[in-house]
Amino acid sequence: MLVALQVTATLLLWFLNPITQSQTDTFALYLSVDLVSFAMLSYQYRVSKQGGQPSQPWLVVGYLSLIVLLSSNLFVV
Amino acid sequence: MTERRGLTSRLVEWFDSRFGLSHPLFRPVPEYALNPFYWLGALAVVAFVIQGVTGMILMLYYIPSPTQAYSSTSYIFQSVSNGRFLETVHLYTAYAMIMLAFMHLMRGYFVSVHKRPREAMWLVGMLMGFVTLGFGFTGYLLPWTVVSKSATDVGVGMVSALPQPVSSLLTFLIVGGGGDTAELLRFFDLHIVVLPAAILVLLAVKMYMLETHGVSEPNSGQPLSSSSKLHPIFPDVTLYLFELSLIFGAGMLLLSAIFPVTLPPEYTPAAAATYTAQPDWYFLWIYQVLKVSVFEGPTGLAAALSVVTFVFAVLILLPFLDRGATRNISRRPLYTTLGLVFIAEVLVLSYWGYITPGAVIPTEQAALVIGGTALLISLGSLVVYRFLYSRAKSRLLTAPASLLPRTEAWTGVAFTILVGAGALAIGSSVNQLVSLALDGYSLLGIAGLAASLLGLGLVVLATAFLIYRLDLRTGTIGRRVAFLEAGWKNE
Repeated sequence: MLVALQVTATLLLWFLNPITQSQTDTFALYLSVDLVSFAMLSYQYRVSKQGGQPSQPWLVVGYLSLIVLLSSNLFVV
Repeated sequence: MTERRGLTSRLVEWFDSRFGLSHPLFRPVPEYALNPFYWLGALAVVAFVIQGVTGMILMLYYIPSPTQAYSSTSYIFQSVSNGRFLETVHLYTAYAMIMLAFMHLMRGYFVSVHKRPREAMWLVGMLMGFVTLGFGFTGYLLPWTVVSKSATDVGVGMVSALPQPVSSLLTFLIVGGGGDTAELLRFFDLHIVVLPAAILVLLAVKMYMLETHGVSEPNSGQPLSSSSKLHPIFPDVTLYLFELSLIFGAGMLLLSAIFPVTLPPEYTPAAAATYTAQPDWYFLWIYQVLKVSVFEGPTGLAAALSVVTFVFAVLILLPFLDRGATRNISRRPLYTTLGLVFIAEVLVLSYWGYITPGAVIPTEQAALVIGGTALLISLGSLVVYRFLYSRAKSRLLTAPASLLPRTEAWTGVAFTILVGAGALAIGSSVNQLVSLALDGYSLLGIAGLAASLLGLGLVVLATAFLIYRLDLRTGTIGRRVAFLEAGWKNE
């Protein structure tokens, strides 16, 4: 799901032409979504390679922040 | 039968074998160090990298000339695609770099990383901190706005109050032969060439030292388990830093999108004449000290700079002042309290400077605020350490007669009142002395000075009497001194 989210965000960034302030805000939001989801992927890969389990609270915080970032796009004027 | 390895694992191995990332030169990192507080310095470096990237893009459009600096910056804001966003990211990441460097410094202070054998690392780190402040100072001038030029003029003016030959050397470095063109070019050169080169050299030295000494141990005082897990630099620690950097980058992007900066008006002598100069937030606390009325005039400025220099000198020389072997924060009440007082004073003075732009601060008021802040923090620290000591007391001494809680409360109240009154009396005395020196002798001035000194004398006598009464009734002082001595002997 995270990979799918990253691909979608990257495609949106590719086709977005940020000229106005609201388009720049959208650009920043989707780039942040990319960065946060990439960080979560890296975290899960690193922890599983070390033989541990990813921390549930941190995963919840990560997914919540992604939801907040994606929903914030609805409020960009 | 060979085991099938995933694509990611094969990619990681390819990078490792080609770049030597898991070479034994890079020592592994213990498990306890995979904690964001151990990586504040690394995040400051990440901020520096972002500054470099955004700065290189901005440099394509910026023209370092007094007649074109503002117009080229304005062009970036209005006409360059994402220009305003880029400028905002550059500014906020600069602020983040300074804030992270400060947090890294204070975190290191409280966990005693300056102690043997890392004294030299501390000195190199302090130099890097000054270079970071230099980045902020030099970069602030470049847009050539009335805000930035006025603030820089204040800073440059302070250089003249420094002793020779430091004053002449710094004036040559930052102003050159004089004039706006020379000044702007030198600031630009310092910002994009000299300071980046300096910080890269210092970073290389610090990283070499880090590889030599390793990550500092936690200062809990508990021995580490010999089987504490070690993580290789690649891929474990690299990925950890990568995750932190991504979160940091996302935070900077969001801040820049939500709070874009606006360009203040262009600097002109006429605009500057009506504008109240104010430095950027990270220098506000220093500026607030300079604004105290007792430091007015050329000799006053030198005295104020001496006070600030003293504070920095203590920080720089900390490894040679705090020579105790213990790193446990609960057993270093003096230095921990001093560190907390420093942070509190910086915060209070910065906020106070922000809300009183250009205002001269009466000496009494400064003594009350600075002294009051130090007093509050010290008392709070005293309460915390008393709680810690009371738990350790039963392990070190035979059970003493316990103090009545009400007596202790009244003791605390009495001390607070006395020290507060003392701060008022000191402030009033200094103010009266300065008034007499500036305005000449008058009956009223001498009477005021006499009253202040009398008040100060009464406070000292009352404090001595309170200590005497405490010791008579409870033996408190003797017991506490014995306990402190026992603690020092264990260091």
